[in-house]
Amino acid sequence: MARADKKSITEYLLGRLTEAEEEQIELRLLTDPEFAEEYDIVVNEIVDDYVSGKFLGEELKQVEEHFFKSTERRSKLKFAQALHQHRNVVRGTSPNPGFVLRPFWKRSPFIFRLAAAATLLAVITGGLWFVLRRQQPDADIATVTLFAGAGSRGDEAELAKPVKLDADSLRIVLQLPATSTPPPAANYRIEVFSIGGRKTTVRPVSQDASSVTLIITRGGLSPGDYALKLVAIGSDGSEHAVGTYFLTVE
Amino acid sequence: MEITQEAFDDLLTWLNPDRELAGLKYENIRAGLVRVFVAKGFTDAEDLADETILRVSKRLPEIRTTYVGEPASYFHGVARNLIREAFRRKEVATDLAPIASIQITKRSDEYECLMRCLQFLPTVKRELILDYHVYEGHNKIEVHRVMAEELGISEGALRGRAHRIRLELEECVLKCVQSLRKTKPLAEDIVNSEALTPGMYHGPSR
Repeated sequence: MARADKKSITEYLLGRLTEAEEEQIELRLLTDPEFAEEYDIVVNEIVDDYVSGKFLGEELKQVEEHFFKSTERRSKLKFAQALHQHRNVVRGTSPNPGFVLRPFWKRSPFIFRLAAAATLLAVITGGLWFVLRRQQPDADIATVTLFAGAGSRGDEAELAKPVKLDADSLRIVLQLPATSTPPPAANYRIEVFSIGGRKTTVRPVSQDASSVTLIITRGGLSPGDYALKLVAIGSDGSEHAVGTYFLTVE
Repeated sequence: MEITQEAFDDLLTWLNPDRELAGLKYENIRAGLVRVFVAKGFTDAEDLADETILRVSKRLPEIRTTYVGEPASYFHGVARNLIREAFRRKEVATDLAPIASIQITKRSDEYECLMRCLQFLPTVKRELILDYHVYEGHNKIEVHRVMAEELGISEGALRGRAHRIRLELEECVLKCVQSLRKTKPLAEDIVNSEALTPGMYHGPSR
């Protein structure tokens, strides 16, 4: 798509064109699917630029008063803000995002990749040996108690408990919600969602009438935000979501 | 009032004698109309697009033998009239909250839904969309260049691919937020929601 198209679409979206020029753009929107896709891309780019604070002065006014006039665009803005927020989290917790690594990996000669894989395997094996050795009765375990996020939407501190992970392992005690009456559970499992979208399932090490406890080793928790979904498993195999707990590892 | 099947068939025939091509043309026109109404600030863009189509179909018996030119132009003309009418009646929303007041936090529905929806994306798509958006400014340009090189496609093709994944993700987040607000208003519920299942968000996006 020509650069001129992008420019004219931007001018249209910011309400800077004459009626005749607008009509030309609109007619193409009705007849040219490629142009329509380019239009959608430019819409998203304007939303992203607004979220990044790129617009200033008169242009900012045009964007706010013209471009964001419809509720659909406002919905796009919320999505872009969420994406932006996620980007900040990713950049804040990982100075070397995955992308930087992957091209390097792909570009490297096969023999180097083989050597790197062997080294990585050795490091992982050594790390496992180290962790297993350290998981003796005298292992250093930190404890954190979490409460289900239900009902505390406005209280961020309550929802995402920050934990500084300097012990070998983290014992997480999930307090069962006092207000609800969950059906009797034979067992539980905990689904741990990381901010990057990864999900792992963990079995509790102990449980009683008021809490469920799990232990995660330091290697299993990189810095970032986590949501822990507690699922009760009844004696008949039926499952029931008890609650979600939020944790920030620093 | 809705368009009858007979009127709709006539409309498609007018667009193109080939039913399949006519259907494609119809979809392009309708999607274009929605874009135009959104650009003009209407909150009910879909309804207005349908109203435009209804008006055209009503006039079709009179115009089909005399009208010369691209049918899309006729739809566009009707849409412009509708816009003028609506502006005269001041139907465009003016009581929306100031845009600067919209702020998403890590505990908002949108953010939680984004986290959820990212899990439904295949790994390749998830990595592409996150990598594509991870940097700003000059770094962004450089990253996009390297990404395109790695994928063996042009930067323009990468831009299009990232856009289509974004649409898919945005659609998922939108449905997730709607479902969340309709059924369970608390933050934890999105993770508990059984309404969200893999494969639910692969429909076409506008």
